[in-house]
Formats: sequence, structure tokens, C-alpha cells
Amino acid sequence: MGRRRFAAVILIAAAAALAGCGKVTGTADLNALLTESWRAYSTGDFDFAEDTFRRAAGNPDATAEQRYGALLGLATTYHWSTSPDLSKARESYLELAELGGDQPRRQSVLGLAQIDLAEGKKAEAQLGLMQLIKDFPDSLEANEAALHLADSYCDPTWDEAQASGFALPSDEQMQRGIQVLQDRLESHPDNPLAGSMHVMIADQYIQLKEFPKAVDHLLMADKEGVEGVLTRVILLWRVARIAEKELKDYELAEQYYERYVDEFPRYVLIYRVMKSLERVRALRTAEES
Amino acid sequence: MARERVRFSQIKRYWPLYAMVVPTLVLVGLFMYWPAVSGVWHSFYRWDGDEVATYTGLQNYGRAFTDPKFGYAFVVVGILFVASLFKMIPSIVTAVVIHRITSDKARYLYRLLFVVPMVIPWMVVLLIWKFFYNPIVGLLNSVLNTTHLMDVLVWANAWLVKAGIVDSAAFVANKSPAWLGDPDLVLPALIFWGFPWIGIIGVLIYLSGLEKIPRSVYECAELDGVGWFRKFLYIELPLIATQVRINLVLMIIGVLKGYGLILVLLGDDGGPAGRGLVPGLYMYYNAFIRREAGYACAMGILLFFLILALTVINNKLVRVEK
Amino acid sequence: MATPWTRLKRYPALLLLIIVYVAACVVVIGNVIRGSGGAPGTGQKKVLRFAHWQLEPGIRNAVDALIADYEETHPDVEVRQILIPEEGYFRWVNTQLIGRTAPDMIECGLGGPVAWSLWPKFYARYFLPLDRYVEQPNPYNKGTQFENTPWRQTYFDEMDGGYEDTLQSYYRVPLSAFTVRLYYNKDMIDEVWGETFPATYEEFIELCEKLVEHGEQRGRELVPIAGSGYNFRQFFQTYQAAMTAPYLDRLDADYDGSVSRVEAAARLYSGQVQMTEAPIRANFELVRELSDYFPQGFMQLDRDEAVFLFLQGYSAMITTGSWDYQSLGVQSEFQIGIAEIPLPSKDNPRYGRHVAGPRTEAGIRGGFPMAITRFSENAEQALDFLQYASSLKKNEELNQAMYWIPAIRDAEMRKELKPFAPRIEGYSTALNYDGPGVELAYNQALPLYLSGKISYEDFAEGLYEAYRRDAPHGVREFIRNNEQTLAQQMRFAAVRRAAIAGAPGAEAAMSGDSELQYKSLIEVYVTQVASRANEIRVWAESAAESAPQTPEPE
Repeated sequence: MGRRRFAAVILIAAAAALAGCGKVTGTADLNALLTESWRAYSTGDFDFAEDTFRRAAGNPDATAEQRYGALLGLATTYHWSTSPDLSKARESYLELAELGGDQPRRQSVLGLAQIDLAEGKKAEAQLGLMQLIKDFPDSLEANEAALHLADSYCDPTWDEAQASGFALPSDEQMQRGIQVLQDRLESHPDNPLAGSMHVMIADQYIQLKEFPKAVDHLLMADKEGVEGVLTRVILLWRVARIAEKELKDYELAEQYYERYVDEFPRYVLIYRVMKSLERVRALRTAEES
Repeated sequence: MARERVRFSQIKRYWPLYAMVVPTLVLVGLFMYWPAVSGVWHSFYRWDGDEVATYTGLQNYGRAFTDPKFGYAFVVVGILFVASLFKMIPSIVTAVVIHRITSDKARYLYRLLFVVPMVIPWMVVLLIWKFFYNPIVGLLNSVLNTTHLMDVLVWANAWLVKAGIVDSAAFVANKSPAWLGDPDLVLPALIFWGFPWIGIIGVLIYLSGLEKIPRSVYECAELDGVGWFRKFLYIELPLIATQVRINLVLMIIGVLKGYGLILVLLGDDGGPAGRGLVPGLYMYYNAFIRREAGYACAMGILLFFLILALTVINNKLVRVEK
Repeated sequence: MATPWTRLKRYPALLLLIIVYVAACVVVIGNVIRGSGGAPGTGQKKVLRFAHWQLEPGIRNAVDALIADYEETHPDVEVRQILIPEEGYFRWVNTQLIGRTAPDMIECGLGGPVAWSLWPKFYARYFLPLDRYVEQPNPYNKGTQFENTPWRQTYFDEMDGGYEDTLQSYYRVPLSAFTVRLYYNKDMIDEVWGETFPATYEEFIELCEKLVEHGEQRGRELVPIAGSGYNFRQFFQTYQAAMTAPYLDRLDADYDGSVSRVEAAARLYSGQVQMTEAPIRANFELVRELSDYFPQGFMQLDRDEAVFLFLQGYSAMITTGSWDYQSLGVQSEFQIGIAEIPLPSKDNPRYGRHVAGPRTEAGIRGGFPMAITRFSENAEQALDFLQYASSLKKNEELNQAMYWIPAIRDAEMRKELKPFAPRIEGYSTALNYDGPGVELAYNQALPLYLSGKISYEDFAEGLYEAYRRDAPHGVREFIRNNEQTLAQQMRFAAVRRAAIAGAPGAEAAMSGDSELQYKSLIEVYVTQVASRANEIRVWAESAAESAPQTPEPE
């Protein structure tokens, strides 16, 4: 009797200890489960996200759309968690492509290309991204693919053989990256990421010290509209500063310094901008006279 | 009654005994052994202390062996270790003095007086000492000024500088020495910390050893005309060698891996010129400030082996003759 | 027969222990009950708990007054303050959040080097994102000029103090703002110098000399400036910003308006920028000169020790923030004056020509930031309370009571705090001396130079050697760590893309417009990619420039 009582105590204690381990979602609805999974992903609870996405993907009652969502979520979780498991992410993306249909295939190709980039398989990544742009030219993913493709040409890479630990891209590689974006902008000038594309091109021209072209693209980015405050404040400063220091285009510099003062009166560079505005106005006056 | 050996095959009969040990084993495994295993594991990784970990092989160890700051940290801790050896003496002497008090009540009272300050948290003691060392309002400088010992130190310092024995003057007329802010005074301040160095735990441990010495031994010694110092040297000290050895091991471990004192007194960079940078503090700096926890783990493993070696040497050298 | 009481009396220590333990249990249980909103069934009110570490005198009373006003208009709500000392605050928050027992509103941001990387994780896991609320007007601004203004635009910093960059979302509701100034013992300064505080650095040094003489005359050591490592930094940063401003144009390779730590480190590593250049040398020589008026070994002193010296009259001046205004005022037995840290005048023969201007305070962000815990049962009510506290009228009243600077535009601060009003004119620091990997060597060497143990040449040379030895590894680690941030952007972009691509559940899981957010995230990603590429380029070019040259074959 004592032994049974003891065993019962152990069982109850184990049950109590393990009771907190499982997460009871309380949702029968698969869509609600997927919502919770995405929320867990976005808040960094990757273990929970992975577990629920996997369950959702394996649920026999899931519709095709739900299975697509679950597989995409699973692949995304493996891919972008703080301790990514790229091989499992790759498997999930491949499984996603097997669902068929354009949407899953686009997500799959983009994800696989990004994994290739992360693993240093640049050539494979570039092939994948080019294929995505070619097969789905009007898609949102093609825009992002163009950015990643351009970045793959222009991005410095880790190289311990170099004294600095990095290998810089050659000018030709950078021009190639710029060309990728210019082709995309030519074929899809009003795509939602056009602003970012112009900014990326401008960044490359700044590195190449081709300032007139850099400013042209910054102006185009401004025209397309740049949402982020951080990006916009840098853009205005860049145009004004490069126009003043490199291009000696004081009219353009004045215009953009004025815009900075109007839009960002409490940002950290405001005093420099105001001083620069005075200086540029004086230079313009001197020029005109 | 002879002790019965319980064989594992008899577990069916004695399983409650095993079951009672399991929770403790689990907790010890989880909170003591698992972190150590994790530390060894992560020493082969570039790890930020959180989730990011990339395998780097022996790179962290290679870096530790060539890191001049890590090497210097061992010099500092070596000096503190030698000083700590001498700082063990007051505890032994105190225990002997208390032990020799003839009145039981007085002996109890003195023991109580030494134990009562134990209730003060260690951090409070550290902060009080930090205040003692304050150059303007600290007690140490006040005492030195009031007793004119400061003038003696100033004169001595000037003489040493003139004789070319030391480079710089830490004690200058009309300037309060910065015990924790002057690189030449940091180590002396760390050594002086805790004056008069009577560690109550040590005293109690030695007292427990001394109390085991039979009265008859003392009576024989008195009959033979043995003086108080020879009693200490030939009777008491050998008979508390076990306790001395225990304290020596604890001291080795404590000094070599400790850094809390220096962190509070000098900050995470070890003070001016890093004069107080000990291996433990350097590990802390790399783990939590630089966020290179993998490298800190590698340093910790090297430190572990050093402590282990010193403990083995200690056990071989300090023999206990019954 | 001996009773238990008789037996217990034989062990007084044990008896004392039992009494103290029982008393402690009673107090703790009482606190827990009070802190968790009362015993169950003690009323129908919603209980909100508001936790912070501001133990300075006056803050608790001011918050209590705000709470009383709120409860008057919301009789079904009770708000309780929970005050936790600064030293243990982060650990307390950590355990409360993990244990899901955290208060509804928690002040964020504290914790030091260990915590800085953990707060973003806390926000992501435990706190409510506020994006959908910040674009709506604050209902408590009805009848004011902000009636139709989005909540975040009512802030002096547009609620930047509440924005978490790493998560691209608003998580905090700042309630105040802070700036740093020089506090001085007005009675002593008036006696020694006069009523007008020195306006220039030269006059300031003269004042310090007079204070030293004054101390000698009184037979008491008087240190003009109560310094510690913490306080000294405020002086140093002021002069650093003033004297390194011109380096922006020289070192900002990508024209983004700032010189990153890697951009600076690369130039110091390669020798393109030398520590012996006139403005840099002037910067250090100035602070070395100033150090003579700090306590000996001040870099190892604590902030509290410096405050002690000031309040006890051993020092005449101290730099600290507006957060200390009331506490210093309450504790001092003398009048306190506030002044700017004086800069060298243009005529100063040693430093004048290197001073571009003061240090700017444009870009400061709101402080005393409160976040709402996600699992709070009264999250909506907590939000309502914070909106109340950050309305124009109430934020003004709260900060006037706390002697702090309001976070809301047009809210009036106390006239005594006018000297703390943020200064927009000025420059930010354009050159940091402690590059990645070199921080330890720099922090260890600086006290030696400031105390006069080593010359400037030795300090500069030692720092250069530290760059040659430690910067390569430090820069690589710095860049590797920043790559985590890039991945973070992509993590959020991926879920937004999934939402746009129609993945079930993705849109519902996120707040805000996914297309807009996606575009924004990609923009930030592109900016960060460019920044990284620029840093690597600058580093690689500097490393190549300074690589040992292979001798030409004869």
C-alpha cells in the first residue's frame, strides 16, 4: 500500500511538473492556429511557431491554402529564427514548391535563393533569383529578388586571406549589380520597391564615387516616395551634401537643405543643415554676382 | 554494527533510497554540472551568450594563449594569491588566541563578537571599503593624515623616487592619494582590503580543529617547559593542518576565479591601466561587455585546469601527519 | 515538566529567528496581496499596477497625484505604484515577465550591458505593440490644439523614444525628457566668484583656481568639480562634440551624416587620422587640464560618491541630468544654480580655433518610457491611463510636479527648469576614439593620461598600438554582430511578404498595413546593407593602406 501511495505521489508530481510544458491553444479553427503561429514567429517564440506550423501542415483537414500558409510559415521560421536551421528551411521550401501553383513556387524560389546566399553559394543564388525574375516578372517577389541579386554582386564578402578579412567587389561587379536594378526599373518603373532600388543604385554610385549618377537616383527615389523616416532623413542630407560638396550645384543643395529644415527640425544634424544652408545661399549669391 | 553494502541488483528492495537521492542529483546536475558542460561546449564556438553560436574549433583557445591581457591578468592574480597566503596567518593566530582563553564565557563572547559581523551582506562591506578608499572623505586618508603617517609615506615615496627604485610618486604633499584611482596604489589597495584579514569562516574552522586537541597534550607540553610559541609551532599548527589545507584549497579557488571584489571597487575594466584586471574579471568583460561568451568560456576552461593543478600540488605538498 | 515555551526560552537565538521569520512572512504576504491588486473579492475595481525605478524624492508623490486625478474620473479603476530600486530592477522585471506576474505597466530601458540586448526580446515577447494606437489622436487631448493630431505627433520627438528600432514598432509611452547640465553650489560660487557664472572655459578655470584657494584658506580640502567616471563623461562628450565636428566631412565616406565606429576605427588604425592631430590633441589636453580640478583618481569614483562630495560641500560643481534636479534640491543645504558646461572662447590661444560650437541636444528621445505587458488583464485600461498621462494637460502637470521636462510639445516646464530646455544648436560627435575591440585599452589608458602619469604622446602611441593589435578582431566582431540586425529586418519583411502573398493568418497576426510596412522594412534593409558595405569598404581600404609593404626585390 505504501509503495502504491508513493508511486501515486510520483505520478501526480510528474503530471504537475509537465502540465506547464504543453501549450494549449484552445483553437479548433486552423486559421486561428495559423494566426497564433505567425504571431509567435513575429514575437520571437520560434519553438512554438515551428511546432504549430508543423501541426497545421500535417493536419489532414487543412485546405490547400492553409497547407500553403503552414508550409510557408514553417520554412520561414526555420529560415529566419535567431538560430536558423537552413537545411530544414530548404526542405520546407522544396516541399512548398511541390504544392504547385505560382504563389508557393515564388516563395519557394525566393527562400531557396536567400538560403544559397546565406550559405555562400552565390552562383546558385544568382541563378535562382534570375529565374524568379524571368518566370514571374510582375510579382512582388521579383522586385525583392532584384534587390537581392544586385546586392549579391555588390556586397563585400568575408575572406580571411585578405588582411582586412574581406574581399571587395570589383567595379565591374558593382556595375553589374546596378544594371540588374536598372533593368528592373526599366521594365517595372512603378513597382512598390522602386524607391529602394533607386536608393541602392545611388549607394553603389557613391561607393564608385560617381556622384552625379548617385544624385540622379536619389532624386528618383525621392520622387517615388520613401516611407521610412530614417531613410528619408538620410536621403535629404545626402542629396544636399553631395550637391554642395561634389557637384557644386548650390541650387539643388539649397533646395534639399530647406526641405530638411522643414521636415526634420529636431533631428541631430539640424544645426549643421542650417549652417550649410546659410553657406550655400552665400555661395549662390556670390556665384550669381 | 557492520555496514551493509547495497548492490544495484537489490534496487527493487531499496528503491526509496535511490528515489530520495534523485531530486538532489537532478538539481546538482542541472545547476552545477550542466552549466559546466555547456561552458566546455561553447568554448569551441563563437557565442554571444544568447542564441548565436558558430563553431570555431580551437580558435578561442589559441586566442587566449596569445592574449597579452589574459597573461597579465595571471600576473595580477599571482600577486594577490601570494598576498592571500600571508593573509591566512591572522585567522590562524586569532583562532589560537581564542582557543587559549581560559574562561569559557570569555571564549564564547569573543567567538560571538567575531561572528556577529557576518550578518552584514558582503556587498555592503565592499561598498563601505570603497568609501574608506575615497580620496577626499575616505577613512583611510583621514587616519593617515591625522596620525601624520601620510607625511611619512610622502617622504618615503620621495626618497624611493630619488633613489630610482620607483618611477612615480603616488604620495605627494597636499594631495590625497587615490587608492583606487592611482595605478601604483591599486594592488596595495586590493591587498590591504579586508584588514585585519581575520576571515571568520577560517577562524571557526581552525577553532574546530584546535578544540579536538586533547588537554593532556598541553599538560605534557607545560611539564616539559614548552613556551607559547613552540606550543603553537609544534602542537597546534600540525594538528590543524587538515583545516589549513582545506582553507588553502578554498583560498586558491576563491582568489583565482574571484572578481566580484574588483568589479565593485574598480569597475569592469580593472581600474587604471587595468592594474586590477584578474582572469575572472577579464572573462566577465568578454562575456557580458564584449558579448564574446565563447571566448570567455575558453578562458574559464584554462583557468579550471590551472586551479586543478594548483589544488593537486597543494594536496601533495601540505601533508597531514596524524 | 518543561513546556515548549520553556524549552524555546533556552534557545534565545532560535526564538529570535522564528519571530523575525514570522514577521517577515507577514510583511511579504501583505506586500504581495497589496501589489497584486488586493485579495480576491475585495471590490469590483479594475486594478492597474504601474512599476518603475524612479526613487528620487517627489516622483512617487507626483505620480500619486496623477493617479488620484485619473481615479476621480474613472471610479471603477484603481492604479497602484510599484517602486523597485534601480540596482535590482532589471532582475525583478526579468523574473516577473517570465513568471507572467508582471505589472500592467513597466518602465523600460534599465539594466546595463547585460540587459541592452535583452530588452528588444522582452518587447517582442511580453509587451504590447502600440502601432495601431499611435497614429490615432489621443482622446485626452480633446479641446486642445492636439485634438485631431495623431498621438505620436504630439510628442516633442514624435514619440521616437517609444519606437523600438530593432522591431520596427512602437512599444513604449515616454512621459518625460532629460538633458544634462552643470549644477553648482550657488552660495559658494557667489562668495568666491560672483553672481554671474563663468560663460567661457577660461573664466571657468579661473573659478576653479579660486575655489581651490578658498578651500585652502578655510583649511578644508575643496575639490572644485565633483567628478567620477560617470560625471566626467558628460564633460568629455561636450568637448568632444565641440572639437571633432569638422571630422564629419572628412570621414563620412558614404554621406549618411554620421561617422560610424568602424569608419573612425579604420582611419585611426591606418593612421589616416592621427591622435596627434591638433583638434584631437586639443580635446584631450583640455580635459587633462580640467582633470586637475576633479578629485584624485576620479575615474574610479562612483556617481553616488560624486553626489556625496557635492552635497557635503567638498565640491562646488557637478554635472548630471535634469532627473536629479529635485533630489539634489531636496538634499542640499545650499542654493543650487544651473549652467551650461562652458566652452573655450574663440580667443583662447590653445583651444579656441578648434571649437565649432556646443553639443547639440536635437535628437534626444523621450524618457521615463512605460510599456504595457501583453498578458495584462487590463491592457486596454493601461493604455487609457498612459494616454491620460501623456495628454497635453496631464503631462504638463505631472512633469511640473516631478520637476522634470515634459515629453509633450507645448507643455510648459517649470521655470526653474528652463536652463534644461534642449538646445537644438550644436554638433554631434563626429569622431569616437574607442573603436571596436579597443574600448578596454582606451578605458584603461585614459585615467593614466588624465592623472598625468603618462604624457599625451605615450597615450596616443599606446592607443595606436592597441588599434593595431585589437581593432582587426574587434571590427570583424562588430560587423558580424550587425549582420544579426540585417537578418532581423528580413525576419519581419518575410512575415509581411507572407501576409501580402495571402498566407492565411499572417495578416491577422500583424498590426498596421502590411504593404506599407513591407516597403518600409525593405527600405531600412537597403540602408543597412549600404551602411555595412561602406564600413567594410572603408575598413578594407584602410587595412590595405597600412598593410606591411613587401620590399621590392633588388
